[in-house]
Amino acid sequence: MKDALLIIVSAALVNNFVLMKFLGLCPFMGVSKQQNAALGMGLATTFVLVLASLSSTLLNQYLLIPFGLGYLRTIVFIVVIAALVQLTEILLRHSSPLLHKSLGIYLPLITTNCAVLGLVLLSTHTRYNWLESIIYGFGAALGFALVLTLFANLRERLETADVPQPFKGVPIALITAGLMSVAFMGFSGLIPH
Amino acid sequence: MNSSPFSIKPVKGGVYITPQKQQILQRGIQTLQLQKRLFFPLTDQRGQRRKPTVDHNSLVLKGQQIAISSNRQSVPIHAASSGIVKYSEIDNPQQLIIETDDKHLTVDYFPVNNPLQTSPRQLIKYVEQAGVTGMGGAGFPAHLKLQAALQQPPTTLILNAVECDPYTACDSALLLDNLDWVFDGASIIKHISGATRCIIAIEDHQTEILKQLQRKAAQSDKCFEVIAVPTKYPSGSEQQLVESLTGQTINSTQTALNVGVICFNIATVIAIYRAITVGEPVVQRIVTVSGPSILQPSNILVAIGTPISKLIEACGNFNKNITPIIGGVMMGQTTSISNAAILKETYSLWMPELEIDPAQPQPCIRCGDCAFVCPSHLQPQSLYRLAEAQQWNQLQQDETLPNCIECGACDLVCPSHIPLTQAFVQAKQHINTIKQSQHKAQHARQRYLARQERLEKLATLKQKNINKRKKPGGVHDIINRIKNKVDNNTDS
Amino acid sequence: MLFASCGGLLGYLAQRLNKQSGQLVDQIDRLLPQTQCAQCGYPGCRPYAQAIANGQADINQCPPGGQQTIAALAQLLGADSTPLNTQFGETKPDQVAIITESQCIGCTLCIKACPVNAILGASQQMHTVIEQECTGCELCIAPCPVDCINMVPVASSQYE
Repeated sequence: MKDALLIIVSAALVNNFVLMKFLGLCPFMGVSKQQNAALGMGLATTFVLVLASLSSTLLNQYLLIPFGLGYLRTIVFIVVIAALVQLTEILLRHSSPLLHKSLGIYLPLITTNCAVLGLVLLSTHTRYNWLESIIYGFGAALGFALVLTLFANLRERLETADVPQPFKGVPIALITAGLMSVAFMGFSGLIPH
Repeated sequence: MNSSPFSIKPVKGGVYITPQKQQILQRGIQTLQLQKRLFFPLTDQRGQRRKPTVDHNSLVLKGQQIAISSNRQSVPIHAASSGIVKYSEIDNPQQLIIETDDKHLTVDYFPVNNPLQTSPRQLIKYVEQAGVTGMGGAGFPAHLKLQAALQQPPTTLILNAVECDPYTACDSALLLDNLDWVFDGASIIKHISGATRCIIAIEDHQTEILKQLQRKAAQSDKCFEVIAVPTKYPSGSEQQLVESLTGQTINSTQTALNVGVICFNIATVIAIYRAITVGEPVVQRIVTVSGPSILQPSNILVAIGTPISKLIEACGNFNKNITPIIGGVMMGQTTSISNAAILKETYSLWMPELEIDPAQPQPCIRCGDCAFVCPSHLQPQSLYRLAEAQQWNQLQQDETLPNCIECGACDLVCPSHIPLTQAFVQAKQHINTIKQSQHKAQHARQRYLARQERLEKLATLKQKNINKRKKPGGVHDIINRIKNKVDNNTDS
Repeated sequence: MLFASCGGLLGYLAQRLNKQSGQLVDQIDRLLPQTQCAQCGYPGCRPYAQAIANGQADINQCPPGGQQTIAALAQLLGADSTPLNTQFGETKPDQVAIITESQCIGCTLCIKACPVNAILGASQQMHTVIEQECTGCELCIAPCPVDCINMVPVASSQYE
């Protein structure tokens, strides 16, 4: 239990994938214009990340390493992620066409989201078993969704704030992201090394 | 705050403002002499039109009905003095003007003999015919409120003598002089509405009135509770008062009756009492005239329809170029009408020191003072941000803006002098217009769909008829057979 | 082989779950002004809503809706609020049609054209526009053979 909590906190806050590892910045900037789209994206990515983490750990442990197919790792992982994203898209289009429409192109782009690929590749270096890898994926996705939602809310406020003309739009958003990153650095004090 | 058993906790939000009423009350109630001309607008505050019931240049007596509304959503108005009625325009007049004479001739009044034995419906008719509206500023027809109470009987009657505007003292003066009428009027309203509990609410700094009320309530055999409300603006607003006395919140889509409460201003209670026991329509009221530009701030008993300029002159105005504010210092508004007259719901006139020149508003610093003082638990800084950015959709989705009672407490405390209340009033108007357009669009859509359906039905019917004609035995068939025969004959 | 089977499964799922739900189209249609004027290039508000849902049309093609409708659509779909594309027309203030009765010949062509049945009348009888029902779509003006219909601004306030 304590280990699980440690993994989640570490993946979500201390080593946040977006603000500390700077992965997955494309949907971070692209989907954070609106609060509900951001939340939807966070949930979709959570779904993909958890399943990707599990399946890649299993594939790696039982297929690639025993048969010495380590060089196929990247290709295999990408295909797995792509299949999962396609599944997510089908399910989303069926259940909430509005969210599917507002996410637009960013939904298929989860495939090339470096946070997802980054997670599965990084988890091959860890010694997690299948349960821990699920928790790791969940923790990372939680961190991603958290940051995305926070950032979306901030951007909605920035829309109506009195920002100087040269900074309006993306520039002030990037500055905000940088400040959020600095804030999240504070979490590194959580786990004594 | 005093710890007597009749006092309660202050309302959440709101600002403490030192009341400035003592001097006004000490002067007693002055009476303004009858003016030469009285003005009666035919469109009421809520936009309902009234039609005159007297002709141009006809003689009217005091108390005679001079205009009535076509639907019963507005109250009739009565002449406040005898004299000659003139229309402001011959066709479709906007106002009725009475040129008063000194004869003080009055129509006969028909009181109800035994109000507590008379049916509520009868009594409500009397209230309607006397033209009683809410005299605390809102001007809502009293008979409509009582009729609604018949449908949804309340448990509690609240008599609102709180008068939280710091410069207004008209209700306090009326109460001091007419305690009996208030208690008797309350009994009649309890009989009409079915309320069993009656609370009289007054601000706690009015110690003299409070003493008299408590004495009278103790003497009375009926059950009256006297409650001293902490002197905080805007505790006299109906929503806030109901919340602090009964703990129930009323949002913008509800009325007090939805939570089992009926609430009347003290002056309205007395008007209802007089309408039933004397048969007297509403033709006069007390107005407080005050402000830094007034020499002798006082309560003045005045005929309805008196031009406000005369009232202000009578109290001594040493700043002739200032536009008067109709209503209290917190919620009053200037008017562009030159002959603006006292209406039934005008409770106060306030003359500022200088012409109000709005200070240049500075940017919002998110201090949160406005949210702290808002009595309706809103977030004014957030609503203002959306209103300024014209994000009407988001404002509509937020759903809290309609709860704003426009009390002006946020304006008072804002360190950047941002005109918040004004922005909210305009935002509400925008949103209303958008809602109306949406409503209209949905209505048009229904009609369009109905038309599509009708055209489709017509088309299927036509097709059916055509198919019918093509059945065997029909005309087409006979013609074809004859044709074939003719062909065969020509062939052979 | 593993991946081939995955692909097969996904394809099957896509077939099964791919019912075209009208829910999105409904949500878009509810934001449109329902004038059915066809200025957007589609024969009515619902076809335009369908086109937006399919990604075939942009959200700034509706002149009667004006900037308010564009902003509402942008918020619903998470898109950017763009100014009205004036290629499709200008936003006009609220207006209604009025028939000059002395010139009306009772041909019923305008009655047939009105999408909300706001014109009262019959063949060889006087035609008149019911002001409360008229949406100002201007579809009646073209069919009238004697040009007796005009648009007049209405006193109601606009939300622009």
